[in-house]
Amino acid sequence: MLTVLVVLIFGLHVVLANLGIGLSTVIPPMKRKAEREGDERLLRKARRLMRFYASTYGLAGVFGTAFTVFLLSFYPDFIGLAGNIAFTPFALSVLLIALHFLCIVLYWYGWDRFDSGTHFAIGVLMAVSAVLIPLGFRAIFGFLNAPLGLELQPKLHLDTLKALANPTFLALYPKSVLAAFTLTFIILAYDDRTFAKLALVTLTLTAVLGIAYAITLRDLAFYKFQNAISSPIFFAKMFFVAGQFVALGVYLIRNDRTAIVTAGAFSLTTVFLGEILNALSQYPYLIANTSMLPEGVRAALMPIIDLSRPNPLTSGLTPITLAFLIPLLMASALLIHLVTSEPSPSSRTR
Amino acid sequence: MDWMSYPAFSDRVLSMIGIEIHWIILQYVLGLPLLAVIAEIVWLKTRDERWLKIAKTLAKGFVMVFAVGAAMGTAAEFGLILLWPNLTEMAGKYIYFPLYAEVFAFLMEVVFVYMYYYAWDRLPAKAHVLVGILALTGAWFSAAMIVSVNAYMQAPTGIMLGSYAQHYPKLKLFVPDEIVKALNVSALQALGMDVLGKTGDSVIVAMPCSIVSKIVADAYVGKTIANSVLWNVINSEAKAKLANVPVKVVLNEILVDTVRHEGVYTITFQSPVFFPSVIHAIGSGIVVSSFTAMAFYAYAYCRRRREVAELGYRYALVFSLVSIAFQGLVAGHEMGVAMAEWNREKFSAILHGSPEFLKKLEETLAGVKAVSYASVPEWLRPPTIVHELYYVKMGLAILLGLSALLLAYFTFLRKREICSPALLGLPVIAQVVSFLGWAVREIGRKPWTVYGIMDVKTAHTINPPPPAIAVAIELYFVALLITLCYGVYRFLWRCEGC
Repeated sequence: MLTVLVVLIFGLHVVLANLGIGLSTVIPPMKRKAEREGDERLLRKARRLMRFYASTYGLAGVFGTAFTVFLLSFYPDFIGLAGNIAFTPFALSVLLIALHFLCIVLYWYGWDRFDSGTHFAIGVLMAVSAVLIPLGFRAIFGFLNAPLGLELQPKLHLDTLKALANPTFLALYPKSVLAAFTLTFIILAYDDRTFAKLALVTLTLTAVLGIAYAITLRDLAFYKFQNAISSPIFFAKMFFVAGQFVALGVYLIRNDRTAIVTAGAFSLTTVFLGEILNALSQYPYLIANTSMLPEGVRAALMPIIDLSRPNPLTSGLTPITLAFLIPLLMASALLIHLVTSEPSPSSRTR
Repeated sequence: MDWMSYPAFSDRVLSMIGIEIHWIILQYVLGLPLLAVIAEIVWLKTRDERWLKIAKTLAKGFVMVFAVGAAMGTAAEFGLILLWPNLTEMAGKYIYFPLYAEVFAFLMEVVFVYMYYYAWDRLPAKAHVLVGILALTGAWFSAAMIVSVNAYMQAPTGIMLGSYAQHYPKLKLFVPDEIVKALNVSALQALGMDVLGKTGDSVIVAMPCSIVSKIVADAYVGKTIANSVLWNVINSEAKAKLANVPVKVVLNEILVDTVRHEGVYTITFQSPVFFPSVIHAIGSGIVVSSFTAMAFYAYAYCRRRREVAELGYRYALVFSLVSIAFQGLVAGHEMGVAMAEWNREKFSAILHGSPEFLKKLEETLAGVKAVSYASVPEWLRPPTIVHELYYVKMGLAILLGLSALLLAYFTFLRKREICSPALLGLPVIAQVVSFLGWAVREIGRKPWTVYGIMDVKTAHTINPPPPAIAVAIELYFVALLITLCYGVYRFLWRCEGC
């Protein structure tokens, strides 16, 4: 049950973070274009999107924190190990999170207060930081697939360059970013068909990278690969990916809005299922290819990465977690509803 | 002893800067919602639109800084994981519950802080006030959870103080019967361990912290029993069986049993310094927020002579006066008493070198006789820099209190208009006082990371970043803070309608 909760929280984090990556990248050029062309409608749209992002990005952050703390509570030895060896990738992502959050504040509150060029420059920084945040985290995921770069001499440490050269990471990171773009483009395509064309391109590229990722898993983490492709989640995901292609095609040909709404729902589900599939396929271990662990530490590390042995002191947490989480998730939904149902883009409270 | 001479200086400074920047910002999330919600309630009662404007401006203040504060919290969290992984691992294992509960507090904060601001015109007025109260509750709940962990690090539940000659400080532990069977109890008693009692499945002991911390250190460098301090206190019959067992396994059994008996969900809240620590931390947030709001409104009023700014200034001034009085006379006093009683080495370091009359005064206020710094065993001595830090802090805090008193006198009794740039210095002083108080608390805990249990060296990562990288990250954090301050100045302080 607790594993399901951890995965659920992580899935929510990834869906919201994907939206954040997409919106951060789309909004600055959209606003810039609107200003150059004097397009008031587009400007209002950019502002409405930014208002949504400025009021909800904290949710993505809090679910990310929740995931880390849940991992710490249930698998403290693993966090202790990660802390001792993974300074560079984690530090990189965390420093970028701080920069990204600051950029959101400056970009949103600086709307109409900075000159257009400065505002756009802040927007570019916001976009770049958003795209780079997953770099460090995905490097860790690559390491969890195949622990390349774990060295014993002169002491246990992670060779960052070897970890970044991990083929599973090299496929996973761009795939994740493109999936984020796809999700965002599909949502924006509802009232702008140009985004549907872009979504079709990024969806195709994501699919290609998905195949590349699967190949790297087959070569470097066969156990995970096998688990993944035989899982019902995998088949569900494939169904939703195919559904997106079809729905986007229908939307582009017939301009049927039901189709793009369907594509949006499918895209959200795909991202969520994809993350769950990736996280659970290496069960019962946090590291998929344990044979790659250096001989000298393998026996000591196996109990640390064993997901079936959570912290014994956490056994009674499920009712407490549900008691807090259910009303707070409902409140989160209410926040999103209140923010998205705002009638006017030029709200009084900016 | 010199503060720099303790282990991991570079990473201690990095942690200090990261956490302090988080704290600088987050104090506004502890204090400003209280001011905003009360202003909104006054508006509800009076329908005076100026109060609504004040509430909205204050809300904008904490919403603007909240995200960067939270991001710095993430940085602080990862900083703890990456620089002090063994501490984090131990916290995750044995005192995880407040950290776990803090996630829900954080979620509550995120949802209701943003709902309070962004859904202002979408909710009925009374429901909106309720959202504000929930935002405030989330912030205080979050603070209480984090402070409980810190309180445990200052004075863990089960810590027992007494004469150094009798091997104190000691920690109450519940040792499972199976482990007791393998131990040479008389050898342990000769080293200072006392048997306190028995439960159904374990023996309760008071173990000298000198032994506890050595076992913890051995466990976290991966020693087996044969290579550890435990080897000297194991029965000869058990030695062959246990020689290759990792110390961490034995330590884990003892600590799991201890936490189960003390209370899995309550252990950190039972720390004797928990309650004063929480009220002192929240009080600090309210003081900093009040002085900042007062300076902001004074600045706004002097620029444009708006009525709303004058009202905001008076409102924040009353808050400043009340909060600094509460902080000094109640929360600060209680904190001082708890510190003197439970952190006696820190108290002795603070008084080290003080004139006699000051020592007497501090002892009288705390109701505790301080031990002399020279009598503290060297391995327990905190750095003496806390003496200077403490008295600078006290001096500035008194200055802050007197300033609020004088401002109130001239504003309310003499009806004078106060337009001095010096007012802008008051929030800075409030922040410095808050920082110094925290510095005394944290630096004064050295040589411990968790008092009596884990020292700094044991908590530290085996792969620390090079000092140059640490300095670069510190500069990066400072640059972010400066940029945020500029943003707040540009988008809030210079705001036309505030």
